[in-house]
Amino acid sequence: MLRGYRLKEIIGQAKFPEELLAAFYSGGLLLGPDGLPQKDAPESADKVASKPHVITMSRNLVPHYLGTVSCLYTRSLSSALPAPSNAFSMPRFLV
Amino acid sequence: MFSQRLNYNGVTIPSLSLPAMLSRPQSVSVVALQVLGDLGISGIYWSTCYNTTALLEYQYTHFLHGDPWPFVTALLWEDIRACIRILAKHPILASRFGTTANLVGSALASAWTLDSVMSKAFEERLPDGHARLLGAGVVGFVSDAFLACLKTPPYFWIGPEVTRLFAAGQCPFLSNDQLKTANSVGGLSAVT
Repeated sequence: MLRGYRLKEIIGQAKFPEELLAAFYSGGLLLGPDGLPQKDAPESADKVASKPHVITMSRNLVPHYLGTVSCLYTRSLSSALPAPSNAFSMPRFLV
Repeated sequence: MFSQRLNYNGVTIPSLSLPAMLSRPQSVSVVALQVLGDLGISGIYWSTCYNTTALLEYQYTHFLHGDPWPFVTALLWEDIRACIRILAKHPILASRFGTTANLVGSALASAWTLDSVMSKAFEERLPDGHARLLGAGVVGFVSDAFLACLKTPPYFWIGPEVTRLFAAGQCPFLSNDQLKTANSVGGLSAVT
């Protein structure tokens, strides 16, 4: 039996540009003006961090961003998540 | 990543990426520390610095050279007043909170008994053995309704909005019963 908190999503905001970049490097995504997640900020980190923004990562988003650090952990995720549509092209050890 | 040497009372905690955190159940401490570590601890720890150059200098001289990070302890009720003073002087958060900074204490009091809200204090151990409070961090599991508001443009600053909601008698965090149910069914949404 597993005990603990089962996270489905993490939301945060950065105070400094460096913190924003740290979140990106940790696999976080920025919600764009359309409310959709995007990997790259449309503006500089300075500008993004200076106004209200949302950094997120969720279990639903993980399979679509395998090129990030999340690819290191897809093995543990694969049992809990549906395989991404392009999973067949992934090396076996990743999926 | 900034949290790779995160230190919890003398024990270094290995860093997890955000996707890794989502992959399996997390303990209270790990959730709080990792969320803070990846998204918040840098800003919180830097709260006593007053410009970006100073905080980067601190990071490079202490963190990257392997010196211990601030000790993470439970946030005590008697620390709240000091934390609010830090918030009021914070070069960035002070302007974000504005007048709602005065309501943070009462908001924390309202959230104090909620299992869905976790708080930690960050201290620096001085050579003379005393501890200096550097700041605090709060992580909470929010309701789906508040989560939807968060993710719908135009975006807003989360901390001030949460404070304002508490002042208006609305709690954006899950109740103790809702926390158990959500954890058993779909999972939790953490906001820091």
